[in-house]
Amino acid sequence: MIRNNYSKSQIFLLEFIIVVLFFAICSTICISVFMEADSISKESSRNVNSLVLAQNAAECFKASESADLDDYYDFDEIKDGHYIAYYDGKFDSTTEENAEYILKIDLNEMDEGVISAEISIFETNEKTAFYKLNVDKYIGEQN
Amino acid sequence: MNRISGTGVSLLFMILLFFALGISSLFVVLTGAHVYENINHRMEENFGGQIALSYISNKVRQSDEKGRVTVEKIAGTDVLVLEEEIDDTIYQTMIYCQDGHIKELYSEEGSGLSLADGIEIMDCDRLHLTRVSDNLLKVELESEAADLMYIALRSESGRGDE
Repeated sequence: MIRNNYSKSQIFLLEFIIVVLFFAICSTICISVFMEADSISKESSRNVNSLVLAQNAAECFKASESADLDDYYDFDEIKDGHYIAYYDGKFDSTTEENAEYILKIDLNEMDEGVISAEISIFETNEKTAFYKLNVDKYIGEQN
Repeated sequence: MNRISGTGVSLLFMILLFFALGISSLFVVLTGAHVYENINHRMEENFGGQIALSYISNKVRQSDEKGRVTVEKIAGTDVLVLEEEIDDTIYQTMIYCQDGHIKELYSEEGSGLSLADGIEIMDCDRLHLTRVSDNLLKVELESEAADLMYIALRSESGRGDE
């Protein structure tokens, strides 16, 4: 006959430790799910705001009668056919130092009076754009 | 004596574990609540701003015919007037912000209905409409967050762009 050497309190302690371990595993899963949800929500909000920003730039590009993009849209930098505007975390216009997002437009002249604009939105610490929109516009013969 | 101190340590350890469990539970619940609050706030921001702008831009796109999209100021309120002709009669859809709501009023031209007769569409603090040029409309919205949208009027474009 096997004699039980454990006291009731020790058995309870062991059971309690198992409960705490189980809880720890569940909490880890729950918190990771919460964090994932938060990150998806942030990304979704960022994408919606970027879409509106790119759409606004595209509409201004479409509305301008010439090849110049800055007729209606405010850019912070214009050089070599690249138009750049800086935005903060809330997608409000800001300076380069405080920028979290960059809107960049590259213009390419195509055949027969068609101009193509590639609108890209970057995070300042990333090199690849997370949102891109291509717009073509017929401006007619300029000469 | 040893047995008593062993039981005491076990008891103390159990109490500590119980506290750890309680604090962890509280932390998990608070984290969940905080995340839920953030997600809800972002959803409300997106809904309040983007849905209203999408609604206005869709209405403009539907009525984008030459001379049919105008911005008027009626009783100090910016009003977007979209006209359509059905059986030689002109009907107007007016979109504006009044009493904290975006409203829509669809009526025959000169019907005598006032802005107060419009139906409420959604909540909005302010709506500014500006005709930047012949073919560009600027819509600024103040609700949960300020939002801005430009709408190019294809029908008013001088060139047949695409």
